[in-house]
Amino acid sequence: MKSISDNFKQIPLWRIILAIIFLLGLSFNAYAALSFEGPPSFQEMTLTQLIDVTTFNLYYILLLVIAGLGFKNENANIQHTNPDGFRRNLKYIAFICFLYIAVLLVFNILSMLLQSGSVYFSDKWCVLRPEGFEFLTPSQSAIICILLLYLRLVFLGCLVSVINSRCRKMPFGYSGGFAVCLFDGIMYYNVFHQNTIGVLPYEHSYLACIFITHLPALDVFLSVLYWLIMIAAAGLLYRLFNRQSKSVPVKEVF
Amino acid sequence: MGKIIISDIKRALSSKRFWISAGLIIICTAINLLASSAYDLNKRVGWIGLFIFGNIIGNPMIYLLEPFIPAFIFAPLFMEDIKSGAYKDVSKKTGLKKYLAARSVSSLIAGSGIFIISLLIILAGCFFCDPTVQTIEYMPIGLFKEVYYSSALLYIILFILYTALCGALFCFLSFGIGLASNSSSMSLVLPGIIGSCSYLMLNLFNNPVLSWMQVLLPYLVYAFDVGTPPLNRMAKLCFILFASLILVAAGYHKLKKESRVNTAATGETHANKIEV
Repeated sequence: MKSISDNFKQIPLWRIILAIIFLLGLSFNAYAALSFEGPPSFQEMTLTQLIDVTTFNLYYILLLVIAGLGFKNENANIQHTNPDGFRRNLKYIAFICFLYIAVLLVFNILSMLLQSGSVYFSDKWCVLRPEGFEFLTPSQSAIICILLLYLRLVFLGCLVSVINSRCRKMPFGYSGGFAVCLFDGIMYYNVFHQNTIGVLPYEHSYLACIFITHLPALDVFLSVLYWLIMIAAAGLLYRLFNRQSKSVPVKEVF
Repeated sequence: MGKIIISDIKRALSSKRFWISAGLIIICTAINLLASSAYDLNKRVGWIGLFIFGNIIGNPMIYLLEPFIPAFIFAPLFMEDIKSGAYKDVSKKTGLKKYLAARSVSSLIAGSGIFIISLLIILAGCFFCDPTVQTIEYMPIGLFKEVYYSSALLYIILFILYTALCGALFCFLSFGIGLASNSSSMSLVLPGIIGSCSYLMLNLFNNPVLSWMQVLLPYLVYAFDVGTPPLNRMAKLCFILFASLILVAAGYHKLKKESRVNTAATGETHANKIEV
């Protein structure tokens, strides 16, 4: 825990302020998008930030500012030569992602307060029209979405860390997460024409995709399992790369 | 100064990153072309049509990617030199001011170069695929829409030049951020984040005091065929340029201060040695 807080303290203040401005903007946007049809509930407002395809990838992009995620080799290479580096990175990423989502929820309350003067909680669909998951309440949907977003962000963070372990000079790891964000949605829409194949990260990030087969409990469980397997796979890759790098000199990726 | 620029351009062109980026732009164009509802595989659209449907008509992948690409190519070049202190030897010969000016120019050239080269490759590819000239159902709504009706080729050239200008400015911004923050990660990702996420602030600035700042947000500045008024575009581009200039100036003062401290430190050790 001490190392996590030490890492967190290393984040420059200007970067935190920048992230706060962006996150606040995200909350303000969500409220403005929904308030045309009447006052949205807190659950719906949170949900609208998690089911909008265009904003979804921004969570990863913004995470890069906040955490400098996986960019620790900027200051020291120790993280990558140490076999326990991944475990330490994972703890840091999990903590940062948790904090990130918690701040986002607090900002949602704040933006509701600032724009309408009150915070409104309701477990009935008021403004949002759910497509494919009508049988869930807004709270259930929001909780599932938050859980999936959290796991997705942790996985992307791990991917950044894995790629960074192969790049000693510059932290190019962000490009791995970026590639996932760029291509998985496009593959889903354009290549597979919205036919679920069950292995794309996109299909395990959105409620509408997950509930296409209408087996909610099983599908959510499978999606969580999917993300856990992906995180474990990233960990294995990290180990593999670092075991290789002990015997063979590291070849720069870019 | 010229030598620094030429060496930077050579380094950029010979890097894998440059050609990976060019490849990515080409792949995104191909995907966009296949996904474009206006483009029909069974219908011949000519090389101009292919280029327009692949690039100029809304390409969401490229919009997300474009602000990140110039930094991906150029940031490693100068950040390596700054982090390793290699810039000191060169800047001793030329002077820090001239050195930074030269690197600023090379950042502008590298940032524009990637788009010029990859878009020209795409244009050549389109010509190779379908060399005929066909009439297409396309009504431009963005920049230089009048030019399209008089000369479609000129319209395409203007598109390439405009994209190159945006690339140059985002690359310069990355250079400024890297200098001012001394952070490789931020010089790589922050220009892209500003480019893609700045629209989040639209509602934050939606009040009488800050509303003028909405015009400056560089969101979708790359998008050529979007009906943003030319003056707004100018304001956005000028904002990026001024922000970059301020950051470079801040970086210059930082480096100057550092070199003064270093000189003082070496002077002290030299004096100590003499005393001993």
